[in-house]
Amino acid sequence: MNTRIFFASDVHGSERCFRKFVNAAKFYKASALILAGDLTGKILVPIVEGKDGKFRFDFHGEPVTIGKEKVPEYQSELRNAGIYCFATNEAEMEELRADKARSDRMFVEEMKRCLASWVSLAEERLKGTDVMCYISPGNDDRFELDEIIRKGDHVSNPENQVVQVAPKNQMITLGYANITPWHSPREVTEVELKTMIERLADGVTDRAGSIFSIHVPPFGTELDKAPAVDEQLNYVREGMGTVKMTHVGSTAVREAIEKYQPLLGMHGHVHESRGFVKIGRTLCLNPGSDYGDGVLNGGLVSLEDGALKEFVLTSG
Amino acid sequence: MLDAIALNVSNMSAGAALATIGFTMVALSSYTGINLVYASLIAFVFSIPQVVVYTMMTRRLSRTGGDYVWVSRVFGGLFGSAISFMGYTIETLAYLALIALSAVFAIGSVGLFFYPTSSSALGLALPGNLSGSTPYLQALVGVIIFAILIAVNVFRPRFGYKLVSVLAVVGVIALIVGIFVLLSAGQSGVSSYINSLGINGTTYSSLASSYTGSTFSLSACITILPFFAIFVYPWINAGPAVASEIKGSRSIRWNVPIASLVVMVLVTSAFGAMYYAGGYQFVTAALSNGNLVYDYSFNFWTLAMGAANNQAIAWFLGIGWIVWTMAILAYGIIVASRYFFAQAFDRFLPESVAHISSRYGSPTVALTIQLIVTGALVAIGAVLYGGFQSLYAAVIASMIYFIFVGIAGFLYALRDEKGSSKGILGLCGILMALVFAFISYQFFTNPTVWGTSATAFGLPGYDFAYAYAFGSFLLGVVLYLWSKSSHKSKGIDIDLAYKEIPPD
Repeated sequence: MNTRIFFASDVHGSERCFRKFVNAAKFYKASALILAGDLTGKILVPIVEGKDGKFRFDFHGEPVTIGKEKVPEYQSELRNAGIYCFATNEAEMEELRADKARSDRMFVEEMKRCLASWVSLAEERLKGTDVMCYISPGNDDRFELDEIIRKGDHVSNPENQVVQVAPKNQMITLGYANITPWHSPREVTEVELKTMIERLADGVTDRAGSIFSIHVPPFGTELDKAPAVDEQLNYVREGMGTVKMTHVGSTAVREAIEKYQPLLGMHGHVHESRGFVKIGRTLCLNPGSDYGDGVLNGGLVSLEDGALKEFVLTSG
Repeated sequence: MLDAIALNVSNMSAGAALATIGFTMVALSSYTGINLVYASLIAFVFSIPQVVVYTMMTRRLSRTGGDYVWVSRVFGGLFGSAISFMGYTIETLAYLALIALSAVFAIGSVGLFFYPTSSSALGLALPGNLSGSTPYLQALVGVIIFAILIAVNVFRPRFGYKLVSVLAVVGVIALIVGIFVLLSAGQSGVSSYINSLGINGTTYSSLASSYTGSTFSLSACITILPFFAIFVYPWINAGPAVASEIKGSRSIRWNVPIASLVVMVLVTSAFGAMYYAGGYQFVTAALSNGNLVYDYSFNFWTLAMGAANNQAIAWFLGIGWIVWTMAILAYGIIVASRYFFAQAFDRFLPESVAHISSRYGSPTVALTIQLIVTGALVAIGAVLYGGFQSLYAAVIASMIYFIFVGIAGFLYALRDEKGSSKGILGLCGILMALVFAFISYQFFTNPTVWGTSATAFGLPGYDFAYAYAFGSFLLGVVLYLWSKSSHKSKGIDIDLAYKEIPPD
């Protein structure tokens, strides 16, 4: 029996990417959708009304000034690029600058509101289908968000579980990453990561058809090369025209793949390292991410009787 | 931003263009009125629609693979993949062969400059179909140079980028030094060098006085547009090809226009310096004189080396010229691998093309393909068709490809743009397509200038190059259909990889 799975990650709050993700079931005729980590956006941008009635904000580091009638259009554009935003005025901005706790709360509330609306959208659009949509957090996602992805008719959170994703394929899911320079919410040491993976992998009853959906890619492959940063988090240059790329994946993930040899490894985390590699018999995919452009990168996998038939990286 | 600009500057082969212009001037039926300063400026103006299209499209689809992504997403998998495969992936291998042979020419010419009686140097510098040349040795040296650079990328992949950087910086510095040398040497320096060559019946004055035509003709300058298209202005796709790795919106917006301007200033200034020092009449006559161009490798570099009247500066300029060609090769090898990768990720090319050696961490299959195909083209170009000019005609593949990049920009504007952006991108897309349609027409209607009529196995050089170009398109079609059929039987339709999922 042929089963098709669509996998994506790192949409980072992009409304457009999530809408495409949900529609991917119909578009690719997939029976399972997997969104594996880094669901939420990274910034909250105030669109500030000035005394002249014009609204001002920063978009990708550049100042933008618009009239009131253009605000909804730009709010939509910001959301499609994964940027949360809210309209405000100069007086409220002064208050927010003085009260960091309040602005942090606003940021988290916006993440939760957005994710809740996504879960509702997925349930609504997948209603009447047999499609299951697995949405799990990644290292950038705060713990408060887990409760939002409740088990529904079509949406569930497979984090830290073994789930039957296809008739003969079990999937383990882990959104934690090894330590990064960014100090994101879900980071652990390689030793801890190894323990977490092994505990999950030991729960798999059919290893031959198993799928490891682990957010961070295996170390030392073409899937884990990211721009190197220095202590001030500036990019390290290497030669003319290039940023130095360095392996940032997890040695624990690599060891687990070498040890358990699952059918498939589905990864994300490193946006720049779109590609696929084989580690022994295991095919490892990282579709990469272009969420800022509203482009959804993914991996479409065809399974038959538990075996991997074919795959393609998509970009749509 | 400097990094992204530097990438594009490396990709635009100014150093090679300044070395090879004489071969084109000699081959033209008329060189009267060709003013290389104005011609460079006109070619730059013709490239502006392309600069606008690449800048706007990069801002909208800043993705690894650049124009390949735009074309394949606008035209769909079959045509988009096949035209990109022809116009960039495979054409690049022919271009690298062209540059490898021009590196051999540079080595021979520099050797000839310092050792005028050396038959070995002359054998490397002369076109392979002229008496005194050593085409087998040219092929051997060309393949060895290319193989060494491939080996660096196989065994020391991280060193590849550093190598490009060092080579390109030395090349650009040498070019700037060459300009200043010519400006300071002036007419006396140039005439002293030319007269010192001791060519029977040929002096600075005789050459300068032999040219009696006008100093500028628009139509004459337009006839030479394909030369600038082969080497310089259209090659702004390096930055866009790595757009997803460029950090910062200012870099995305400005890397293409600034790189184009920088290269225009370098190339135009170099030609301007030649005219300033030697005078238009002399330079035009000398660049069109087969004896000087072939037997004495007369060009910007050798003129600057001679006018310097200083062995150390001459050596620096000579090495700078050789190094520049190596930089183009070193960079081309890395970029070609990216296109192989992007097409393998889309499953158009076999999965094995994206294989990374676990031992060396390098794309050994993609690099091996480059070595085999480019090595074969170097040998065929040198031995059968007389040198790098024979590979000019293969560039037609890219000119046709750029027509479709322009059309892709136009169609994207119609479909996705609003307001003034729609008009600007749409108009520039159409203008870009028209420019490259015209340049393609120039290639086809003058195949002995933009190619060679030298014949091997009953096939003129330009026909061989056309067969290579269009054969690669057919190969692209066959590969795509084969891949589509193979994947479909396993439950995957690769057409879907090129289509955007509707968000609503």
